[in-house]
Amino acid sequence: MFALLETAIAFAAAMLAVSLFISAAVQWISTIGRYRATILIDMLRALIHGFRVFHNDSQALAADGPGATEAQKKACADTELTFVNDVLGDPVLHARDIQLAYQENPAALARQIDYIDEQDLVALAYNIATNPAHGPPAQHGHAGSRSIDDLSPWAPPVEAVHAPTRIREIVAQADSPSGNLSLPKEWVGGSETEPKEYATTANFAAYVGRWFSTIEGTAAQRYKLLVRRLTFVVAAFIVVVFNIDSIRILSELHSKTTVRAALVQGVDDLRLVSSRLAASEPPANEDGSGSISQNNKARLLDMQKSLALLSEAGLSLGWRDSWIVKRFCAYRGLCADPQPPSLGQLTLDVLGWLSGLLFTCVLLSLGAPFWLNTLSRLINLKNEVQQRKELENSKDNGIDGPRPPPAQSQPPQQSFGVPSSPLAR
Amino acid sequence: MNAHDPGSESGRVEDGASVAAALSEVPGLAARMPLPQWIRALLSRIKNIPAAIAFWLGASRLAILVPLALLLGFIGTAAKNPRIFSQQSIGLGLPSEDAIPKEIPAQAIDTSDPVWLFRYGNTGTEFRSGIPYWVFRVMPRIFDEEFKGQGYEHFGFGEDSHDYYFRRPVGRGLVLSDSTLHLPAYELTASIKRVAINCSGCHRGEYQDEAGRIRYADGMPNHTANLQGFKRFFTRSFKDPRFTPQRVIQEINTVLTQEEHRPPLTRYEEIVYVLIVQGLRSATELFPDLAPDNSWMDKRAENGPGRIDPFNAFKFEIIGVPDDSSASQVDFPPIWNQRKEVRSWHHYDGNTDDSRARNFGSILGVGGMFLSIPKGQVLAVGAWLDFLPAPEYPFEKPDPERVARGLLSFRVHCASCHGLYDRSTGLISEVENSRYMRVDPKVGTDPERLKGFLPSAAAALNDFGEKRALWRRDAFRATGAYLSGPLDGIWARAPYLHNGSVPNLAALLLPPQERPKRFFRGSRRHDTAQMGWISDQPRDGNRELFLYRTVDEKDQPIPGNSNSGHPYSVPAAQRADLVEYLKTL
Repeated sequence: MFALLETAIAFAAAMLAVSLFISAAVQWISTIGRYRATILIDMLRALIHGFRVFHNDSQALAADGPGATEAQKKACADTELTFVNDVLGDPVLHARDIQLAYQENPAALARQIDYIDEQDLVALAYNIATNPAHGPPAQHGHAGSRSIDDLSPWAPPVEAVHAPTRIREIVAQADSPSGNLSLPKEWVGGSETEPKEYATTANFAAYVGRWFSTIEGTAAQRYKLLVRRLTFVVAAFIVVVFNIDSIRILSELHSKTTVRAALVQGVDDLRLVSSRLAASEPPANEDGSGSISQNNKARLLDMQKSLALLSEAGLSLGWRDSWIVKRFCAYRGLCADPQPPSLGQLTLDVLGWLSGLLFTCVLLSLGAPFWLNTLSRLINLKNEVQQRKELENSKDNGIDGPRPPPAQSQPPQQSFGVPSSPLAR
Repeated sequence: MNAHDPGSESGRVEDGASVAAALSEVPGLAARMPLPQWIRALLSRIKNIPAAIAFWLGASRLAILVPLALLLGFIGTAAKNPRIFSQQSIGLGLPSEDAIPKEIPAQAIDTSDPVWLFRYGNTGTEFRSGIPYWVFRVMPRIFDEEFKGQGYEHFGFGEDSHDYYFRRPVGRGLVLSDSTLHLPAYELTASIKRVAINCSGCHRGEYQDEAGRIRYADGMPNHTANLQGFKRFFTRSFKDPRFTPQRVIQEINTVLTQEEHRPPLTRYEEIVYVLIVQGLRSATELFPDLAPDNSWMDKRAENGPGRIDPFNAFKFEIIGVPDDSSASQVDFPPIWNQRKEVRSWHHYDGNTDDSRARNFGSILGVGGMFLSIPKGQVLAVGAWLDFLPAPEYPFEKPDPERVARGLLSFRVHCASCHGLYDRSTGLISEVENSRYMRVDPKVGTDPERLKGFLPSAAAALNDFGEKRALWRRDAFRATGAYLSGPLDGIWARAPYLHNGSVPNLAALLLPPQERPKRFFRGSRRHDTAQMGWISDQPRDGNRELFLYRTVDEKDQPIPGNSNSGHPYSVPAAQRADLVEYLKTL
């Protein structure tokens, strides 16, 4: 009974370790690939495009039309990207060193932002329209002439616009000529001679207030899809690279008590890694900026640690000493094996091994939270069984046995750095 | 909002991550090098490739073909040549590697033998701190004045015993090894032999017996090895104008053709050595994480032979904490009888009870990298050290009567802190209610080592080790005091106190103010009367010894070098008997 339970615990620990490796790898890759930033940019493009279409903007409608040319589509996209880059490249969103590093490349600067909420978006747009002197760099043909030096202490301070009522306030100024300003013409494809009347701060604020959450939800779905696909690819990749045959692992754990014990001993470390991955975000630096390289490094270390716990426990991972390679070796007569397999046996072995890999993929698809939960339940079960057994033994011996421990609380479900929304914090 | 900081991308990324970081920073390095504009533009584009691939993996349905293709590739390889999986090394194809003088074994070598591993096994220091063999070989030719004709014996890495090898290409305490990264399930080896220090470099000592022959003892502090001098020599010489690719290649060719009777380097090898030499010259600037700046040592007193400042090296060079000005030099400790029954805590301040932390931490402190540590080998050596006995006193047998009197004196004056070590059983007795294996704030010896390991340092090391699966997350603690430990093999542990500031036991039993303020370290000759290495002569044969000072020219105390504290003087009449007893431990 205990051997079975211990095998189950060790197996859950092994699956948890691999799942954590995958979680860390997914976080690492999605950070490198700037998944959040890309989705945010797409979302803001969808927002400004929707705003233009909503107001029957000819350029936007033409680009959406069935007979739209590539040039029309490109012109529309360029216009909308100007808006995205201006808003996300706004100096108030970036530390000074970031701005200096990317001052030549507004698109790259915009990609440094992972999240913006509707109030901030409207406030920034309003601010740029209200205060052209604080607009983005003029050399890129964008609205205003704002530069990073405007953040120096003697520059006119940017108006504080973080009040939650800002959208309503801006919309309320719709009838006020001084409060309802035109959006920069570069954002909507307008010109001096043909200004687009609808492109005002009030209209924009109203549109954002109405549609932002819907567009954000769509973006969140897309982000989840991307991460799910990535997780699948990474899991398959890891199963192949590390040759993780769960059927083999199960039998190995059942037969080797030392491997089992070593894995069970590493459970606390696995929990620690899982709590780190669940936290997902790196602690902010003193200047308030999270460090992407530190985060990446932490993820790499978590990946290394997860699998190091498995290999140090003595579990056979990888290809070097793997069972299937030995079978191939024996079949080819390159290794000393008293009973080299026939082609049929080898084929069966390969099929069995492939089904082991497939089974691993299925198990890993359950995710790290599942395995963490399972592990905790199994450990609780083992403790309970052990306590009951001790209690029975002590009753048989006529002495008071130890009280069964209170049931341990289950760990909270952890999302391992894959939030429901890319914009959620 | 999360504004990422590209400036920090060039920040500290140590150990395993540093390799990847170094490679990913190639475009960054290019910005600092004079390169044509088109190469810069190309590198700038290359920099964006990882991000594009990373996004593609999630965005494209075709990405699943990557693991599938990989699986087919593995199956195909396994079917065609299954042996290839056991060859995980990157061969550079350098003919000069075959010209390295071969070891001549004196017996069949069992590479799982812990004694062999301790003396000749690699510990992973070669990856970050190793010097390519042929560069190592020609350094004494380029910097002859530094070696004074002694070769690496000058730093204490010279002759060795012949019980395992009649001849090795490198000296005692050094190992010649390929550089291997121990990744989970994979070992990646770059097959270019490098010279690095191993366990025995610090913990295998030498002495001259009564017949004048050199003897060696495993686990004994290598009190003649100047590890800091060795490290500084390479740091300094790599910056020297004489260390140029042309000169190094010229000297290697001379050695190859004239001493080894082999052909000179091929054109391809010359290119490799140009890159190696340029890399060594600029390592600190180009790869600060792999070759960290060790100028912090220049702000402290020189260690001299037999001493090291391992925790500060770890803190400043590996973790990257700011210099706290502590001068935490300590004597190389003896490492016998490491089992918990004898030593439940380790290091001079008893800052850990975790043997993994002790073993792996030591390797990192002398230049190892967490992914390069061969953990299995190191743990095997650690298990062997648990039961390695202290060497017996090798000189004239102590007088039993005086020993008996000395034992009485020891019980009165010493046993309450140091316990009573029984050589025959290897156990410690009389430790009930004593201060044995406890830290004692009253001992009053030089406090610098304690200042160098405050709670913040313990937390930093715990965090470092836990995240790299090296040791427990609570493995280290800051004790704020020194540990009272056993005195097994005390004869071989001179000079005394944690910082090696007292030359012999006779001096240690004097009141602190009467102890010598200057003495010479590094002699292999034993002073049987005083119980310590001969310390009043500036030379040992043709070897120049190191003048250790507790005070500077202006009679001001040198931080880290004080010989004060441990004020437990013994009545003069009992000292000689006590010293006689101590010889039996």
